Amino acid sequence: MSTHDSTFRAMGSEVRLIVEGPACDGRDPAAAAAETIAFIAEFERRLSRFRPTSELSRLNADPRATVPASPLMLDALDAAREVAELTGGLVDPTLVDEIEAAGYRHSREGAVAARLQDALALAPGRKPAGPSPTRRWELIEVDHEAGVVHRPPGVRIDSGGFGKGFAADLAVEGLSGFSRCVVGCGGDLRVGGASADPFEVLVEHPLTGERDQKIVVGNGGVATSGLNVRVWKREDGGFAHHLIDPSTGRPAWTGLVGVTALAPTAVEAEARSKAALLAGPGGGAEILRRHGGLIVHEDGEIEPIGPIRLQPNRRVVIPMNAVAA
Amino acid sequence: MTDVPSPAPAPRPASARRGPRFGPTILAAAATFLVLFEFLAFQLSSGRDPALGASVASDSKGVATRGVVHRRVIRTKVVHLPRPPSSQSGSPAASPTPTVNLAPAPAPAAATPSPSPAPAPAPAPPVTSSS
Repeated sequence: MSTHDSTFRAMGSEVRLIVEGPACDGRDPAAAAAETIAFIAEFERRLSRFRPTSELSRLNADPRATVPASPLMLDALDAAREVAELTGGLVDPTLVDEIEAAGYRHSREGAVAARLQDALALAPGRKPAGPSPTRRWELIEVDHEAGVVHRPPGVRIDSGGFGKGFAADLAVEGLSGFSRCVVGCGGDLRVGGASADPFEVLVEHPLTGERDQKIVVGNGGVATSGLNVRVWKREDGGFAHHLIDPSTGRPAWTGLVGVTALAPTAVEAEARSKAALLAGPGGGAEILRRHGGLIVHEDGEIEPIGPIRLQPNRRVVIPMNAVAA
Repeated sequence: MTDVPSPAPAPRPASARRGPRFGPTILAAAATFLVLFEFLAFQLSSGRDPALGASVASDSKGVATRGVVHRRVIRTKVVHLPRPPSSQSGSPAASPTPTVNLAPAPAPAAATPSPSPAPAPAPAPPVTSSS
């Protein structure tokens, strides 16, 4: 059995790629991994909000109501709508104006995050987020036959709420012939392959950075959303982060600092993790209950929800005499 | 007739009266024996055994000595010595013959279980974290 394991930067995050052979079609893991890496680079080139020449940026700037789009863009917009519908509008892909107003206009690749404890100390009162009353995401219509997208000019789309999970799903589909594979884009992972052997996935605590919990994941997705990576200090002295409350258009402070969600796909896991964090402790548990997940409260407490195979990540020490035998 | 006294018997000469004496005879015999014994002992110690004959003893001694010297020179140094170094070294430079190249050098490597490649370490677990 041959295994390819690589890590690289893309989409403002660390991307992890594990491909275990053999493949039923005889493909080499390393060659398939190279194709996957190229696909992720192409995905970012087309769907990044931070690249002025990307197809998404051109679509957002296009004054026409109907715009031709590539098949990848049409599929991505389908995913954006499905995420919004699944979460009742909590994960809204049309909040570009709001997130830019919060200070997230450019990529934060390489930027040092503010200290989350400082941000929590100055944050406004905690309350669950809610959907936007305008429900702009419902105005996006995709026509695959015509190869166009309809939306009112000025409605801009952000791939930040679904892009990494969607990319992981598509990448794993391309690796479906292999016995096992994992594609992790930032915190959003998709496990696939013909083998029934699950992967153990470590969960990083958003406050301590410790990886002291692990989830056993079979074929499916797992995603984590948290406030600790993309949080910054504004010029007025306050703090902001990238998870916007659609009802207010401002960063959401709900009493949770991190959520890990399981789901059949990575894009659904990403949607559920973001929605659960936005919904706060009560609503978040309901969102996670079907497939399982973890809620991390502001005091650092970890609360497992639903059907989740959670194990402490303990170091295993093998006696030397056992090894010699 | 008158009685004439008979004269006293005349003494017998000494030589006539002496018989063979025991001591000188023994001494003479012992001396003769020792002389002959020493002579024969000298002959044996010098390799001339009178029981084997002088010519036979001399020839056998000479042939045996030459035979040992010839075997050492011809068979050990000229014929047999070149083979062991070539078969034991196993290096192509020491012996370019095919038998040496194919010889036992690979055999020990195949017989020992340790040279089998170690399995690749399992990949580290993936991590899900805030992104």
